[in-house]
Amino acid sequence: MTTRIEARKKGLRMAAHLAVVTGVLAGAAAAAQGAPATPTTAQTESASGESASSENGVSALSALLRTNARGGNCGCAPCWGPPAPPAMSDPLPIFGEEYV
Amino acid sequence: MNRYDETADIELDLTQEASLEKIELGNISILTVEERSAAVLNWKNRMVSEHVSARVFAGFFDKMVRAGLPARHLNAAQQGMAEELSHAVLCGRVLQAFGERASAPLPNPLPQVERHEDASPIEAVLRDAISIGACSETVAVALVGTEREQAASDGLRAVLDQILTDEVGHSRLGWKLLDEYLPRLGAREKKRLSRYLVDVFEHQLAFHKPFVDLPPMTDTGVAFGAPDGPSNFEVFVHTMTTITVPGLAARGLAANEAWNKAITHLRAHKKLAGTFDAAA
Repeated sequence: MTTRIEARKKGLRMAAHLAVVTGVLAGAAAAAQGAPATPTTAQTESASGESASSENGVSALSALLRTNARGGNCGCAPCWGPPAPPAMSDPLPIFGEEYV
Repeated sequence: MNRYDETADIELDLTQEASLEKIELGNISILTVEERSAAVLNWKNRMVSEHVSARVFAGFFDKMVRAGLPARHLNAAQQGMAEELSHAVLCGRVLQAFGERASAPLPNPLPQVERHEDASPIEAVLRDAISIGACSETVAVALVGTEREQAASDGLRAVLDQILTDEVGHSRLGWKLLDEYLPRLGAREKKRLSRYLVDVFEHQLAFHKPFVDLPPMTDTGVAFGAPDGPSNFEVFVHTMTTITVPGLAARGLAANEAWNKAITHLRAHKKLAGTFDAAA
């Protein structure tokens, strides 16, 4: 199991480097290495009010998806090939009409 | 006159391309029947998914042309298309190493590739950059990066290394486009992109939902490519919440708010954006 945890950390560390804006995502890289990151709103609020990136937060989100959502692909394990991006559900005018 | 039968199965057959090289998987006899069938099914699904996702890069390329982007970006999208196709062949080689055929039915119909005609050309490009690069491919890097650490053999690790290298490039393309073009957008377009994030995050949650329904897998199964649902879901959630959402927020988009809104929609049993019935 330790191997698996280490493997996840390595995978997340690789991904964390991709999103880096110089210095800004040091927290993400730290989180990937197991160190506490500066919490973002996304991390601090989730299905049950727990951190979505904590173990409990992952469980809560998992439970929420299990009961409240339909699968968005073929139902098999999600693959690496990117799915077609979704349409914008609430289109807004490009020019003219103001919106809030 | 013959008419096209829209309900007919269409087979993706990569046996010829896959046969050009062989992969050493290691000792597959140690796998149980369940582990082996989970691994084979996953590689088969991956082969199809990688092949089909070339269309996603084709759509990305088309949007870049419409937005007048320079050749360096067009070339990267074109390369992404070719790499997805080559990943499908690599997955086919893994299947053949298992003693399986490198062929499988294609989804019919294939999901529509959105053109984002409600957006300005550059905004349409950035919508794809977010969905494909900042979300899907960044999650893919974390997942493949995790799996390559546990690979059963050098041959399998080499396959995962090749795929990982390419996925890194695809993810970088998305983040690079955001860095280069997001600052040039007006406040109105940025605001609309922030709203689009809700749809993207709902789509990501729905797309990765099947991980939640999959059981855990043994280390041996994982080493040969069988999926572990809970572990993969954890990687997905960590990637989104500690990398993608902060990365988008750092670039001035209302990503935290969008993520929370997507979760709120989920709580309210609202149909998530981008979902469709598997049977459809």
